[in-house]
Amino acid sequence: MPLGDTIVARSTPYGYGGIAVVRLSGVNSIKILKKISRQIKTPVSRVAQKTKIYHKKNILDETIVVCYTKPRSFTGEDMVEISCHGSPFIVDGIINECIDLGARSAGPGEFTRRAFENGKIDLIQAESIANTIAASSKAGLFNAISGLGGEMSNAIKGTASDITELLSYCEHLLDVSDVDIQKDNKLYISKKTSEINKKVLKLIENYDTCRVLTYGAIVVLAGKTNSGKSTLFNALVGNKRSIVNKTAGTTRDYVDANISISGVPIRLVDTAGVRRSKSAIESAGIDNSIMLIEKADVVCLVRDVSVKDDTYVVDIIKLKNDNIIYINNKSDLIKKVGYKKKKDLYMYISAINQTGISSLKRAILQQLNVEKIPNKLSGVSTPRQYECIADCIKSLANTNNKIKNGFQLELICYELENALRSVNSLLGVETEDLVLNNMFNSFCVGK
Amino acid sequence: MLGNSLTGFNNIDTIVVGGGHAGVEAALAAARTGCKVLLITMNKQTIGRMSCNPSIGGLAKGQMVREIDALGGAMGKAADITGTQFKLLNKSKGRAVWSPRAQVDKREYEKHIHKTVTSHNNITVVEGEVVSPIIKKGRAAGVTMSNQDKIISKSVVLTNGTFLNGLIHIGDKKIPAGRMGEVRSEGITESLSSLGFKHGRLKTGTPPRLNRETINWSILDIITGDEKPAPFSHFHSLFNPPNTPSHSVNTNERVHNIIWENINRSPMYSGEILGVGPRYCPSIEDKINRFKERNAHRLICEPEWKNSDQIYLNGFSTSLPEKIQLEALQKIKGFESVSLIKPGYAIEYDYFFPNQLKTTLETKTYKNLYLAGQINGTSGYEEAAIQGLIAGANAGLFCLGLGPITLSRSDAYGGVLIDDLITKSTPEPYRMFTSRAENRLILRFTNANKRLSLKAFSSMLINKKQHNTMQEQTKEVMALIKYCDKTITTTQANPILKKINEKEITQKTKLKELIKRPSVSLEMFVSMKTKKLKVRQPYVDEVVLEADTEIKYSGYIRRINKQTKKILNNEALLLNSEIKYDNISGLSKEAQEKLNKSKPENMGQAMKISGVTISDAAVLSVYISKKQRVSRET
Repeated sequence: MPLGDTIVARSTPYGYGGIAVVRLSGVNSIKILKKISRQIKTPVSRVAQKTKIYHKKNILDETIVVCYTKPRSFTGEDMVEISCHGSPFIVDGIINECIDLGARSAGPGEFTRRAFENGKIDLIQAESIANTIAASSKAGLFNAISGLGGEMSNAIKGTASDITELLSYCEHLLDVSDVDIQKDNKLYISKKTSEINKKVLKLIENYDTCRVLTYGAIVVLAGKTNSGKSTLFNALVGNKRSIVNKTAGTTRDYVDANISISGVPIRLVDTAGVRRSKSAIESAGIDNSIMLIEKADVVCLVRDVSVKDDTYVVDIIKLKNDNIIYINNKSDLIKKVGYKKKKDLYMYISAINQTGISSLKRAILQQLNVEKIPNKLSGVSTPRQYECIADCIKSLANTNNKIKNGFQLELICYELENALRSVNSLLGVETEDLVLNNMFNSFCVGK
Repeated sequence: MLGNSLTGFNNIDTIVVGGGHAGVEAALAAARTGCKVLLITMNKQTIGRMSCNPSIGGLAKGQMVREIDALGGAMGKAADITGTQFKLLNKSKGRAVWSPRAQVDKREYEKHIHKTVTSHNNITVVEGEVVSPIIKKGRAAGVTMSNQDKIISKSVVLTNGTFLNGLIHIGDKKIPAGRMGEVRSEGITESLSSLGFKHGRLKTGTPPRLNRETINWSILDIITGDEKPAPFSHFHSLFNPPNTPSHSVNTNERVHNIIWENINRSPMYSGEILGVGPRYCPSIEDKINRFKERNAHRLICEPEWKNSDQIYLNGFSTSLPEKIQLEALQKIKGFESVSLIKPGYAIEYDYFFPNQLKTTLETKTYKNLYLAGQINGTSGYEEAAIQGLIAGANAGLFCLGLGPITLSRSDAYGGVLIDDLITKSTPEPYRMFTSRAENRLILRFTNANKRLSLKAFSSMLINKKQHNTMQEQTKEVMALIKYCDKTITTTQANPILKKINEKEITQKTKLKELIKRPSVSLEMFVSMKTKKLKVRQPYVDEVVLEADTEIKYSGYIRRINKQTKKILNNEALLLNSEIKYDNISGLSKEAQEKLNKSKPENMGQAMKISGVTISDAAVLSVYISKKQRVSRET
């Protein structure tokens, strides 16, 4: 990805709006602004200014412009932010003017990438920006912002320096003669390793919560055909999104909706009922359901109390996911069919009468482990961060193994080095380009 | 004008200044490439002299001596021939850091080296003092002697060592000297400074030499070497060295008290010495000051040569006044009536900041001028020797119009040494440690042959026969590894496993899998009857050890190779020394300044400079690839 050239993109969502923001970054940003606004004077840095933007001889729009001279800008380069009126024609017009004058349309996450590469933010902070934008809940936003402020970075830096210290200690032992190695050296190394391990584990202890609060959780309604999943779906969503019919197998593809339970963002998915089917379309839908069940954070297994059980469905779902809420639906029919309530895992609801819905919501939060959201939540929240920590934990486990297994000091050093590398890559120190590209590509254009 | 040229020294290719361990290897390496070499020393008799400890090798250094040998150098062979006691150190740690060490007979060693150098057809040795290299059009073209004679050559290697403005300290006594009793060299520092080289001052020390007759040997602890000694050289057909015992004593609180009371009379503490001393080989004053909780330090009495009347007291490096040294020593059990032949002393000397050099050890500013050894701020015979070898080889290869030889960090400890020297600043004398080598798991003393033989052969540092010998050794290792692919039955394996209290196997297993267990080794399964080895003693044991290690570490070795490949790729991205870094936009100010100052040779070096961040590296790599694109297009 070339650096330093001038990039341009809209930074607000597509479509009509009151205003929209177009951003420019790179060496020619201010020059381009002067040209499209027919100005001779260089605008004062960091001062908002009412400015007309031209297309040929015509005024394209009347805008508010702020210039930032490097390095005092988000990207660390010269930057311009144009707040124009929010019509796509105006926005595209301004962008086209800039491109005609040599700017290039920015790639996904390129502004943030430049900020990272110019040392304005570290990798954790870069990810936090993406998270701040994507954050679906208040608590998730807090976690993203605490990452942005470097709180997480500091915790990780602390761990990195702990590992460095222990590694230096071990390295030193490699270079003293055999006679000088004391018995308590081994004890010290082992003690320190488990201390560090504990700290590292702390970083991911809230991972699921952070991830759920930032990106939302996937809750899948699954079960036999005609068990009332779609009725339940509608009850949870609060309107008739899913078509409900007495005919079994009505829902053949999945239907989803974003809902919020006590502030926790949830993508609720209604799936095709699972049964042995002869219809090709339906069985494709069933395959799809099974895939969704596998991916789900929580599966609501919906069963119709009024009909006889077929364990086939329950077994399949159990096989694919461990996080299951067992639901006996149609509790309003219990009396009619003479069903006897058993003492088991199942909770009783009636989707059609909307009874038991709030206890189900509680159960979902419980299952997601977000029943009580701590006020101050900090920890890793992206899969990349999680992977780095997991690698570090693996290396620490290997270290421990080498300590117990013949105390192979040079291998202990090697494992500690790997642990250190994992932690450092979390901060973007010596991170491979591939990882960087991956990460920044997950941004939308203009951030 | 060349009118002053010394008669008889025409057509010299390479001049080597200095006859220490760096100078010797430099002269021999240049000579091996086929060059005409002139070695200029202040005293012919001291060529190859061991000015400090009577031993070669040791932690990390032992691996380096192996590397020197694989590159055709003289040190390993000389140590093997003149060694009196051989020992593999670090046995309590993993096998990657095992290091051979030998006690040697200094006199015999010196004699052997002297003969090796003087008998080489391509080397002429002459006595004299060099005051300056001759620089013409930015290239070294010879040297000027103290009597203003000029000798012309195509390349010059400077290995002046501690002799550069050397100043000996014993208490408050100061003696200008190179080694005790030998003249120092003056003028080189000044002339190199006037050529623009920056220099600093370091110090090192040596312990006293005791009179053998005055020690009560009968009550000292005896230390013996290994029964199956490992040689340094790859090329022996017979290796049967003596195993002469050495002796150890312990200091005690009375000794410490005397030193403590007089610590201000040590020039290191009184502020007389300005040079920075090494942290790792501290003087006895330092040890007592720093490790106050320890009430005894172990000292080893090492005979300097066979039947030597002079005993080197390893561990008691000092610059206290002679009287105090003696007084303290006499408080040691067994030393009650000891007398000194030479007191311990500290020596200060000039060195040149090695970041002014390239990987070839050529200076960045002048072509064909090479610096090696203690002049670059290193300490130790082995560290000096490997630098001398690389500098000399390159000085020679240049004369023949051939490409240089360089060692990478994953090739050799020597590569780590040179890379550290030229990319990091050395605030103290640089000594090699295993901890300096991040790739130490693949830098073993048992695989120097595999790592370096091809490189050595293609740079003409070893002959076909030597190359074949090393190839054969590595092939044998490969064969043994392959042999371990075969399965072994329970009846074959279990009696052996039972003997060492290992979990027995219940079904046929690959031998490889058994060997991966930490306490099982290949040695237990290779009886000479079942497997005829082509390699003979003294190399059978190490070939088996190497195969065993390759199998045990295979997972690690794979991972390291993957990591080093990435690093080697960065090192392959060359940075032209003409690049003006301030013109590259996007680089931070700090990076621009530091890159301009140190002019790295490649991307790998640039990334190691502190202050050059990952984003600077990204900017730089984009710049290089753009440049390459442009140059391809034009």
